[in-house]
Amino acid sequence: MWKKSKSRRIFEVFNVLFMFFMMFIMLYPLIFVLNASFSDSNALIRNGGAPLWLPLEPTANAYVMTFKNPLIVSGYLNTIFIVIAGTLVSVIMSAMCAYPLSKRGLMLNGIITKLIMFTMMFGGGLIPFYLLVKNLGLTDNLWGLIIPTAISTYNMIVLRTGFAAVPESLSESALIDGAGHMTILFKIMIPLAKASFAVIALYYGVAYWNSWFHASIFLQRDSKQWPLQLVLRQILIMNDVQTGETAIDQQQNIAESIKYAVIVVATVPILCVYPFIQKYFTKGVMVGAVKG
Amino acid sequence: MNKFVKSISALTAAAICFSIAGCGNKSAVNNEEVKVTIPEGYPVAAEYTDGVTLRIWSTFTPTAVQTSMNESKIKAYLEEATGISTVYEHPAPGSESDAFSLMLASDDMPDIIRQGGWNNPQADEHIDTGAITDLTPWMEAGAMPNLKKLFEEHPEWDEASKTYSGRYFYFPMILGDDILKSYRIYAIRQDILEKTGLEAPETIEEWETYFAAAKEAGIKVPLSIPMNQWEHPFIGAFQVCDGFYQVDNTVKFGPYEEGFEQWIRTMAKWYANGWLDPEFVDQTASRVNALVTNGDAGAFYGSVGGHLGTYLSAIDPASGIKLDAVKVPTHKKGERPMYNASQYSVHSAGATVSGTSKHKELAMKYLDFGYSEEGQIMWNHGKEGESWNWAVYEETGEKYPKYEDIITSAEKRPEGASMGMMLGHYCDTGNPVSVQSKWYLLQNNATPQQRKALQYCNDTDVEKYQLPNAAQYVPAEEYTEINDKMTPIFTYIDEQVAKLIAGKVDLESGLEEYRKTLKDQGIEDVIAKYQELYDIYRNK
Amino acid sequence: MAKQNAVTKKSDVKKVGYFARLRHDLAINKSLYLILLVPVLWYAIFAYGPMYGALMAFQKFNARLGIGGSPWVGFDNFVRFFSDPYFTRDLINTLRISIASVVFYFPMPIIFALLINEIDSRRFVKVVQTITYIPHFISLVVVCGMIKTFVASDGIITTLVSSITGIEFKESLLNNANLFTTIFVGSDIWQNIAWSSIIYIAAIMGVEQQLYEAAAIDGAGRLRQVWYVTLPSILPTIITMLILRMGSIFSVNNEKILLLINQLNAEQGETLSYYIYKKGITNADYSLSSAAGLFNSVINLVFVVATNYISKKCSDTYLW
Repeated sequence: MWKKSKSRRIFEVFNVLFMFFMMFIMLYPLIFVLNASFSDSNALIRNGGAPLWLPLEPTANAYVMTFKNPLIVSGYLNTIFIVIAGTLVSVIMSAMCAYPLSKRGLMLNGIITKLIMFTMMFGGGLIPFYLLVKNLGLTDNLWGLIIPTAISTYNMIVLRTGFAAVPESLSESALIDGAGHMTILFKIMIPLAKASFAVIALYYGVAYWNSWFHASIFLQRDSKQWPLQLVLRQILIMNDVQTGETAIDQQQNIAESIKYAVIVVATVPILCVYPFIQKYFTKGVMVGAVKG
Repeated sequence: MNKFVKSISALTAAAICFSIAGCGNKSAVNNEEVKVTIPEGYPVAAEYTDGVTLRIWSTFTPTAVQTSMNESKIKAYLEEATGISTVYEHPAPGSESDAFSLMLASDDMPDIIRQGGWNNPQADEHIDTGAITDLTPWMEAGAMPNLKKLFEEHPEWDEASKTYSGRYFYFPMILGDDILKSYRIYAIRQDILEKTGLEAPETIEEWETYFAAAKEAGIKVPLSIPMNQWEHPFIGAFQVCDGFYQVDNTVKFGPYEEGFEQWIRTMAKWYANGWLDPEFVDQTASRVNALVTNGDAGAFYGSVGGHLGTYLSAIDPASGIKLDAVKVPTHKKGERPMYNASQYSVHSAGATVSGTSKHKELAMKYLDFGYSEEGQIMWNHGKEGESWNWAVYEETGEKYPKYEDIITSAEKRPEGASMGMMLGHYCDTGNPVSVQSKWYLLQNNATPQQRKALQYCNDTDVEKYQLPNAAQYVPAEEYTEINDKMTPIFTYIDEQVAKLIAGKVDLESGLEEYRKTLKDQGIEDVIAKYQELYDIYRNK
Repeated sequence: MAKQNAVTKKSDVKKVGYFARLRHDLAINKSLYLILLVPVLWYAIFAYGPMYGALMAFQKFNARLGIGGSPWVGFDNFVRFFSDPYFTRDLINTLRISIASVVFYFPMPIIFALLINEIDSRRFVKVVQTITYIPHFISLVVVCGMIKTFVASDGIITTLVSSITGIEFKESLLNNANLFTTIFVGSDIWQNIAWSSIIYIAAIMGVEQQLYEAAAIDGAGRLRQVWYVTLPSILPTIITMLILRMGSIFSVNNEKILLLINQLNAEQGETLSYYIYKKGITNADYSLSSAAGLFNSVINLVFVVATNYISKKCSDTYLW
């Protein structure tokens, strides 16, 4: 234990103040978006981008309209499925890749790692990728949003780093005790590399939540299959590209506030996820497991 | 050695995928014999439709009223009228261009492809690669009698609908009336005019008087306009058109003309005087819309519906802000303005029949319906009794199809649906495969200011100077080269013009550099190229 | 300190011996290789499968004809790409933004993570983290709209800068080409610093308490503890992140450029990918974007290999 010196206390005060400052500037976008979503559309248009500390001419109209949009509800369901299934698939595949690659002794690791890293930088482009997915029958199918992009090399490397930090001795003693590699993977590696798993699970989960591009080219038959972010994007575009001849209706300029309501609806849930993951980043992962 | 083994396996895997991806094994283009078997008239008898459902690919943005065209009433109306059953497929908004290419690349093309921009240099390519069907032999065999009749009555439409090599390739959207051609308008503050006793400005001098007065009356931004590659408002008053055009059969490029430099000087003066929006390079919708709707702008240039229409309903009625349309600025008072941004009568939007379709004749029959009298009304207005009824237009006494309350009245419509959405549900007015009707536009822009604006913005001489789109057809091989030359030219113009106007660069020396750089970048070669094409076109 | 990510260097034993050892290795570690086989197959199909698409760069690609049918044009597309009058300017802009991003953005999440670690209250930390993540999730379109408001002539950031430097700004800061990179990278920091710090926080939490205690016994104050214990412990993570970052260094977020660029700041704001996007608007020029993409990838490759090599020489951490 170290004593708390005066300079330490001053630092702590500044640190906390700094954190409050950070929170304040980070909170603003959400405040603006929340207020805008509860504002009257015409008032919003007149306001432009000026800061909003309170809703203008408050109304919950935008939310009513949003939830009446059938694509929002289907979008939510689709996204939830994609996030859960996708994160599971991705984490498992990444673990199956990272674990062997983290072992020092494997001879083919070097060349395989190089080949994998190569794919991080080089790709074939959209058309061949699309054709591949289509020929595998994965278009117009939610699994087409998961399987073709299951492994992110970036995340896999992060996990590999996590595995490599676990001392060799642990798995060796397990092997001596007769455990197979799958057992080791599940009973030893995963619990000990919990933090890394939590990190990549979070990264994958958020990536799946935010994704829209692949959905936009693979899901063409049925807009009811669209994930939430694609629906949001369509609403945002619809608002910015106003065809010259058609006007938003005289009496109902409601589109402007709907834009923000949809953003809130598409963003707030994922924000609530982090506190639950946080507990996996705990200290002292390995104290006392093996001596030396 | 293991590297070798690994590479071999990787290559093998790739080869497997290569064949899975099936590159090269496309569905055979359907080169069926051109034969017209379906008799004229609608609905088509069941023996000819054979239970077939045509697949139509079209761009579409879901609205609160419908998530796809399959849910629309107009689709049902058309099916009923033609006797032909259809199903729609839509790419996600924002990815249309990629989706289009992917559709061509994949083995799964629909029967009909509808989109908003059939750029002609690629049209020939599309025919040659089998992506779309060459309609010429079919036209001659009588598969599209309604369209053919229209072309006979309007030879200029006929001319404009062909590719560079002279083939028919699409069922175009045709703008049926001049009032549909332009929708970019000039508008000012009526209340300022009243306050200062000025008349609506028509010439540059009058505009400047207006700006000074507006500034005096406390308006922060007397003029808010966009400026980009395609539009330079006020340019017509300097006797120059935008882009490529011709005067007495000599092809010119607007931004390379003397008049354009005058325009730059004037804009720079307006900027320096605080008349032109200091943030004119930032055309973010929210900023610009706020300027006008809360009274900070004295005048603006924009779209009759998307801008003027939106503003009219967003302005606080209690604020006293009144907007009104004005004429397109002209060089000399009383003279008809030379130019305003206008579309061609034969629009680049339209429908094609894909090369692999197995039901070509049926598809053409379906699309041809839109050009019959009955079809024109249906595409533009929907079904009589349900979405429209005959009425008399007060101003002219003409008989016209008036939209029903379900479309026009906010109370009768489902909640959250705008008029535009309802129009898209009962009719297909955006890019109809038909002749677009002025009655749609006039009813959709029903305020007096908007109607006035539509009148004014189309009251120009632009047709005299527009290069007929047929004359801008460039053979597909040369298009890339021209685009490669023009992209840096447009980039330079965009940036330099903004810098000159905003005073970042000394005006006179900057203008000299401007002219010199354009020449160095080869603009004269491109102008010569278009002149060559225009001459060929005229001598045909 | 345990060697992380160390890979057995290939020995210099004769080939005969090598193959024998390989067979032996495969036999002993059969289950490990089997586990690895599934992801490797995935890479073969989904990452290497489409790679033939890079050939588009050497063709005049037509979507209908496909790669099998489009005509070959050799290096034409690259010539078109490199000989464009704006190529050099856009290349420099891209480099400037990428390098600024690594130099200025990269350290920020690390510092933030260290500061978070100094907070005692678990609850406060949770609150801070949850709130500071918010900008990362707000759609880029909305964020850029806010950025424009902040740096407008009457915007809050402009006012702040004004009061500090004494300069009066009559127009948006975004109209000043020289400030583009700063605004671009600065707003990146604002939007993503907290999110990027997650991995470092996780790493910091993995440092054994005993090491701190040992250092304290040796008389080190907190600052020295951070310098001599925390940083070295998370150095492998930092280096790994840095090498990975290099793999996409040249890829500047095109959507953000699109949202922030205007005619006055294009001088320093226009990147190569934005230019290609402009060129392709009227006709989808897949060949050109493929060639540009290849160029992009090669540059990324050079950076990654160089960084990996340097870190191999200077530390125990490297990716391969």
